[in-house]
Amino acid sequence: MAQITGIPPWFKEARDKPCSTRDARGKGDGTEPFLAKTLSNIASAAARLLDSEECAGRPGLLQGLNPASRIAGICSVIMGAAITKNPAMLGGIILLTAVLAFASRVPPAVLVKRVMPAFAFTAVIIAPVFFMANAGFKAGVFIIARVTAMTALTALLALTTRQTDLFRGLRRLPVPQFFVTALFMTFRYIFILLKMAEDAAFAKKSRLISRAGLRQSQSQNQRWFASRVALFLKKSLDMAEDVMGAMASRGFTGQVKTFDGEGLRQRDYIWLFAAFFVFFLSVGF
Amino acid sequence: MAGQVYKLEGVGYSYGTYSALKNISFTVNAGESLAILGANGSGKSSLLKILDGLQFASVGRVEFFGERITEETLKHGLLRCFRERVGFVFPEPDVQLFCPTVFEEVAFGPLQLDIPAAEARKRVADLLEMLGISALKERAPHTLSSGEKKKVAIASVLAVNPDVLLLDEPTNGLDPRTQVWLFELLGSLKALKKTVIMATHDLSLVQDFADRAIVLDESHTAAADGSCAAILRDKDLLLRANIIHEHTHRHGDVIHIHSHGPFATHDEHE
Repeated sequence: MAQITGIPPWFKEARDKPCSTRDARGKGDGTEPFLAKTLSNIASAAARLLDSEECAGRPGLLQGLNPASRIAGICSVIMGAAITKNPAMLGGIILLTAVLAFASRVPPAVLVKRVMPAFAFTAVIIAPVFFMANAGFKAGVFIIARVTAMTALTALLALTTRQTDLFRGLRRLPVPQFFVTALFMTFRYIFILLKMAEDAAFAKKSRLISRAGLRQSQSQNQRWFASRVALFLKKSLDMAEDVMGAMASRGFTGQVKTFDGEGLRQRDYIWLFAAFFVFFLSVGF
Repeated sequence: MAGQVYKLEGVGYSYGTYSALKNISFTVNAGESLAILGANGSGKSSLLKILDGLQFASVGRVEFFGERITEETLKHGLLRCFRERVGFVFPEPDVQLFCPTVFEEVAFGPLQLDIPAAEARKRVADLLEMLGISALKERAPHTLSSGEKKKVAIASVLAVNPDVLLLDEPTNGLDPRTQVWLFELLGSLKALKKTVIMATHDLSLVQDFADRAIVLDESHTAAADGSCAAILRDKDLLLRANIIHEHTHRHGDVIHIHSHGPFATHDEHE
């Protein structure tokens, strides 16, 4: 086999000493906090997506419903939680959410994990209310319970609905078709860009040799970040152009045409009736 | 540097509930050229990332020259030595190239190693000359062609003179001339006794270059580990692992059944 010529002497030098923790020169993992955080966020986003897909694949009450009726029903219960002024009604909605989660075989820990950030955020935002009189305390608890119920229902919908079902369901509802398609494509390509972002972070991590080396040049870090932003902008623009071209080449003229999908079954009507009933009760109370 | 470079024992890796690798065990000796073969999604890239200490095995043990590679050991002192010795070429060069010019890109590694600026400049110039890309040194990486980007990505990794080179799908998207260039480069690295581990499904590259191959099947386990010649002769194994496929077509009254890939022959008649 032919070989490359002009190999410099330094490249021919072999190291004679293996790596050892006993005489290591560098300390620290060389991963800057923001890079480690980026990687960890990407990994947790991917894990969350996989969790959702796994949950959505289980046989359960919500999973067995038509996606359109599932979305419409949960949305009406969410609206009920948003407008009710009655603590008992709100408590009932939270109880209903727990029953739905149980019947849909959603692990409580997964649901709680999804709800906790919104719960904590709301608690922090309205913390001053708790220092007011008794009414303030009650109002604070009520707001937290309302946010918790709405977040839990949204999480429940996400956990029991595959991405494809979500978009299929939205298409059957009175949502503009082009909006749904744009949303689907955004969701689809965001994961490609997410994968690319992860690889970019890994590529940098694989070339980080010492923390000290990087600290010498903060501007290098900033340039890396700026170059990645520019790369993703360029890639997304290129991709958008390619996707548009691919759609046009297959006959797309601005109007998205899709299959109608499955019709509603008896259980969907029962579910919709129950969900709308909760909504009307919330309006009444 | 002689000896056993990597030792993997019962390595598994999962993304949430999805297993990307299951019970992988093998060793790699210094100077060896190893191909990791497998269909898309079989876990080749995850395995390379584990070998580069970018991801860590969910179960099992990974050793590099006898030192266990974990998040903790890299944090506590091994990292610099490990990164000096192991280079990773990603399949998509764009993710790897982040400096404003090719020259700075290739200099990134040596500067991390605290090599004096003058020496680093010489290294970069030598390397660009060796790889035949000196003319690109002032260009911005994003303005290069795919083949040129790949050359710069490889140069940026070779600049720290790694003993072990990990390549993920190295021939992906390369034109024939750049492929030949890559084959020649790998031949030179082999002659210099560098350890090269590549994940690929390009069997022509494996045949020409690798000493040994490990086949990952679609259940994410190692289906075979042996000499390249033996692995490439095992048509059933390659078919089972979805690395080649069989194709039937007709010439007049003769029906040909043959596998697709560089080892396809038209002598299997029915």
